[in-house]
Amino acid sequence: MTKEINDELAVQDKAINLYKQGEQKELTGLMRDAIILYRSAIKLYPGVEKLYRKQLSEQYAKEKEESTVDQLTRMKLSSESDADAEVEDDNATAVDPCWLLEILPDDILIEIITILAYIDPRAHVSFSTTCQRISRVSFDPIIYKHLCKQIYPHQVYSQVTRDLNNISDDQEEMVKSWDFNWKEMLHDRPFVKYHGVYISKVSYISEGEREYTFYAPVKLVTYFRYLRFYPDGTAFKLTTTDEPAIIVPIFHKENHESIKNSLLTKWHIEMDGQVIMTRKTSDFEFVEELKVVHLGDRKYHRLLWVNSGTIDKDGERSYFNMKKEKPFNFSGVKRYEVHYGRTVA
Amino acid sequence: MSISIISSDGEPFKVERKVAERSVLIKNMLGDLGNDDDDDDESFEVPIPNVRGSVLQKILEWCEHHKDTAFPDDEDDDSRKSAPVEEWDREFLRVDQEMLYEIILGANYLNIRPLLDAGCKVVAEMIRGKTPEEIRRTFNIVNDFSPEEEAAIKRENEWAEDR
Repeated sequence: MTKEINDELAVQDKAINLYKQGEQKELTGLMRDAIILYRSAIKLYPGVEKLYRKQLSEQYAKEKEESTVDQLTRMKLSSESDADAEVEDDNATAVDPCWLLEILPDDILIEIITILAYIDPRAHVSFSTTCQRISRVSFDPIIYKHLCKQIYPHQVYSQVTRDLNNISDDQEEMVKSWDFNWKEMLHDRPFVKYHGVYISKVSYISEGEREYTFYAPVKLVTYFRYLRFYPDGTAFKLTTTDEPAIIVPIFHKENHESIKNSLLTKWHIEMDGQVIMTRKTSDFEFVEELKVVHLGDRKYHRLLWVNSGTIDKDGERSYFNMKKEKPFNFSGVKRYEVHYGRTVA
Repeated sequence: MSISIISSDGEPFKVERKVAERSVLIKNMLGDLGNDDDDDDESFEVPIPNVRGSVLQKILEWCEHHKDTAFPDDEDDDSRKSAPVEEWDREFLRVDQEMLYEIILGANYLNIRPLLDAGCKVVAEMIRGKTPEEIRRTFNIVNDFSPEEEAAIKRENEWAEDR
C-alpha cells in the first residue's frame, strides 16, 4: 500500500521534472523540444500541469509569508532599538506618526482651524480635505461663527435697511434670528465678496449690413463686464472686450483714471441679497440692481441682473434692455488686498 | 511663598508665585487658599498630573519670561486671532512637532491663554499657503479618503475660500 503511494509520488515527481524541463525549453524559444517534454510528462502523469501549478502557488504563498514575517520582526527590532539609528530601512519612513492628530483633541484643532480661517481661507479649505477627522472638525459650528463674524460686519447696508431689519454689527445679536444657528445664517443671509472680481461674459451674434453683399455677414460679439466691490461702499465697474487676463491684475479702483471707460459707483446690499448700485450725473441717476445667489455648492457666487435704468430730474424712470446680459460669476483673486475701513466691535 | 509644581512623572519645579500664576488654573487654586504673601517660609505643592517634566519645564520657561507681560484681556476675537506671533514666542516654539503639541496641550490644561494662542498660530502658520498634499507631508497625515470622496469634499468646501 505505502509502496504504491510512494511509486505514484515518484511518478508525479518525474512528470513534474519533465514538465519543468519543457518549460525551460519553451522559455528559451525551443517550442518543438518543449512539446516533446510536455508530452512525455503528460503520458507519465496526466494531471501534471494542474499539480505543478498547485505546487507553484503554494511555494509563492510560503515565500510571501516568510517575507512579511521577516519584515515584521525587522520593524519590531527597529522600534525596540528605538531612538538611535532608527531609519536604516527605507520602508520605515512611512510609519512616522502624525503627532498633530495623535496629541491634539478636536477642540484645539478647531482653535487652529479658526486662526487658519482668518489668515488663509484657501489653506483652511485645503486642510479640510486632508483626512476624515480634520474634515469633520473643519466646519464645526464654531468655525461658522467665526466666518460670520468675518463676513457680515463688513457688508454695506443702507441706513433704511439697517433700521428696518435691526441690523447690528454684533453678530451674536444677529444670529438670534436664526435660532443661534450660525451655519443657517451663513446659508440664508447673502453677502458680497471682496477678495476678487465678478465677471460677466456676454456673447451674441450680430448680423451685419445686408445691402452690399449677397449673404449676410455674421459676427460674434464678445464683451466682459467686470465688477468689484469695496467695503467702503464703492463699486468699481468696467465694460470692455479685453479678456480677464488683461483686466484682472490691474482692476483696482485706484486705477480708475487710467482704465478707460471704468466707472465708480456706490453700492449697498439688502437683507434678501438685492445689490443696488447708484451713480449720479448732473442730469440722471443711474441705478442698477442685481441679486446675489448661490451657484451650486458655491455660496453667493453669482450675481443676477434684476434691472438697470435711469431716473431723470423729474423722477421719471426708464429701463435699459437687459436681454443680452448674462449673470456675473465670482472669481477669487489672491493678490487683491481688502482694507476694511471700520473697525468691528 | 514659593510654589512647587510637580509634573506627571514626579519632577518638582520650584517657581515664584507670579510665574506660576501665569497659569489661570494654578492662580485659581492658589486664590482659594488665601493670600499670605509675607509668609516666605510657606511652600505649596501643586501636582499637575497630565503634563510631563520636559514639557512642564518648557512651559515654565515661557511663564518666567512673560511674568511681567501685560496681555490684553479677552478682547475681540477678530484682532487677537489675526495678530502675528511675537518674535520671542516664535523662537521659543521652534521645537519638534511632538513637543510643540504637548506644549499646546499643556497650555490648554493649565489655562495659559497667550501661550495656547501662540502655539495654535504657529501650527496655523505651518499650514498656511500649502496644498493638501504638502500639508499631509508636513504633518504625516494619512489620506483616508478615496479620490472620489476627496473631490466631493473639496467641491463642498470650496466656497469658504471666497469672501
